[in-house]
Amino acid sequence: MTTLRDVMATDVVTVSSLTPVERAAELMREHELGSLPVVDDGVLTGIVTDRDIVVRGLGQGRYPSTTQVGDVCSREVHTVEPDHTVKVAAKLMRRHALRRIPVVETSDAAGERVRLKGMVSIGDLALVQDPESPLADISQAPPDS
Amino acid sequence: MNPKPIVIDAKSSIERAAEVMRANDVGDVLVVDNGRVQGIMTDRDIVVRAIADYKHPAATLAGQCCSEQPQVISADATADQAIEMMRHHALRRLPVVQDDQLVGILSLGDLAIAEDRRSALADISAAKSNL
Repeated sequence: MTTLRDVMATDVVTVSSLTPVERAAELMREHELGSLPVVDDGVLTGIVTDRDIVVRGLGQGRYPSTTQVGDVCSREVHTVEPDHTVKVAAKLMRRHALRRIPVVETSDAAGERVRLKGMVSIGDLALVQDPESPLADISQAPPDS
Repeated sequence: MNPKPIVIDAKSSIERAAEVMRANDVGDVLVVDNGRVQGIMTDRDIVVRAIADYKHPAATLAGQCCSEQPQVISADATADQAIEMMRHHALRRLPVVQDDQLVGILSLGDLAIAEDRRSALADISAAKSNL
């Protein structure tokens, strides 16, 4: 059975809570991503989306030049684990309308330190489940902008 | 689809557009110039076309940040036809018109959760959050 370990991307672009929002925006454009995991001292602490930058940031008078990722990101992150199946990830992504989801491992028994191992995107899942699906094509196409 | 598309003037600042997106909980606005639809601006457009270029939000206009004149689709078209149009033009959003009047915006997220691909676009309810 295919697990997320088999399909996830491991070269993950990340930011920290202290990264300036403008820099996060630059990374999103450069790598054609809509979200970036926030990693502080090796631990996944949040996720920031282009929407966060606009709605939580600029829409609240927080200018990108003077705002850090930590001020606008979401600290509640939906995650999956490397041994989960593609089906588990698909279910979570559908439920929460996510395009990408971080794959994590907890590195102690209490589950306190959450380490990022990779990212799974909706395109990855579409390819696994139905390589001919139009949604796979659309997901793989470059963004409108 | 979203049946109440939000509209903003091309001369408004992107800071204003961001406030509008926040106040209306939408991910895109239609940009109009003298009553004519100039294009669509998404929250992503603001990020990659302005913020990533270190532009000043109060000095950057919505008209400078939006996509070109968008493709449109009829409200009577089916989800399958919408998917094909989005695939063909690599779009994630499509304004929906009825008798030349703008009646909504369809997003990729709406189509992804549509249960019946042959259903008319007007019957597909909006996804809760943008993809």
